[in-house]
Amino acid sequence: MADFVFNIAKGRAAQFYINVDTNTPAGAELVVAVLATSGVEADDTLNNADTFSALVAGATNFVTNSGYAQKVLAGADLTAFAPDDTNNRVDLDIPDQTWTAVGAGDGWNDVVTGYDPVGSQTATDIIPMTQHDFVVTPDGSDITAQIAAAGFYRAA
Amino acid sequence: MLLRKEYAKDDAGELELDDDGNPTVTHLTILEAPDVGGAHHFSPRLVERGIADGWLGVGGGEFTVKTAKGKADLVFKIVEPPGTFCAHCGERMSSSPDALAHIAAEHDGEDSPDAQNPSGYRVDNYYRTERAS
Repeated sequence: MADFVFNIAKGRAAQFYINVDTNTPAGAELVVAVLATSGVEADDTLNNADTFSALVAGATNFVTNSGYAQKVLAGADLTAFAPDDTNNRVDLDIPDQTWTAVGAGDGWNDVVTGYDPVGSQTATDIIPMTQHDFVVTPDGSDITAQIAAAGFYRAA
Repeated sequence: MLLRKEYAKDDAGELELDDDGNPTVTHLTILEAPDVGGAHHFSPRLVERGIADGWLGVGGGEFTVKTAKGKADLVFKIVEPPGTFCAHCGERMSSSPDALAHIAAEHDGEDSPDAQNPSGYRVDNYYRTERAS
């Protein structure tokens, strides 16, 4: 036998996701934002952030291109699956995200997902969940973040 | 919507595996779902996976989420398939360039009413549905 985590307890991100899916607390949302290439700090610095506000407290910044705004996902956008006791994992998925007519300016470096427990969309309230490499040079066209087949997060 | 996959098991309680050695989903248990009339968004990826797993049926402009035998399936009417839409008037656009042309012609100088899409149009990467039963 080995040490392990029970499936039901895998991943705080999974609990955040289910909170949004079941609207508990009311107003809870997922947020999807983009970090700019210029000034972005090392992963080992970024992964210490406890809030979106802390994430951009140093040299790192969110992008400011025209046409960009952070995306907000509510319960209707999410289909959660209870922990998969057969495969011993929890997979989380969201629809692909498209930013339309994004103007030139900041280079894009990473997509970040976060949990907003109160639905304020305020950086100090949003807890960062996952970060994904997403290098794009906007040129006025649409930009789509295509989520992997297994979802954007797996707790296993 | 919160769901749990249920897998096929033989008389001895052992998982039944498909030809690739993967467990076979028989149906879903619905742990939480929108009320009748409530909205839900199905991504094409989820639809494809549901069809492949066998727990989702498509037909007659509806998605049917299959539940346990003896329990009512969940039916969602497809209100709008994925696509590009004007954020001002909701009209479906054939492409992003068409959307920009439409906005220039019909909504010139107006701020986008959709804070998540400052350009004035949006791309929905999901089926907009409403629970029918």
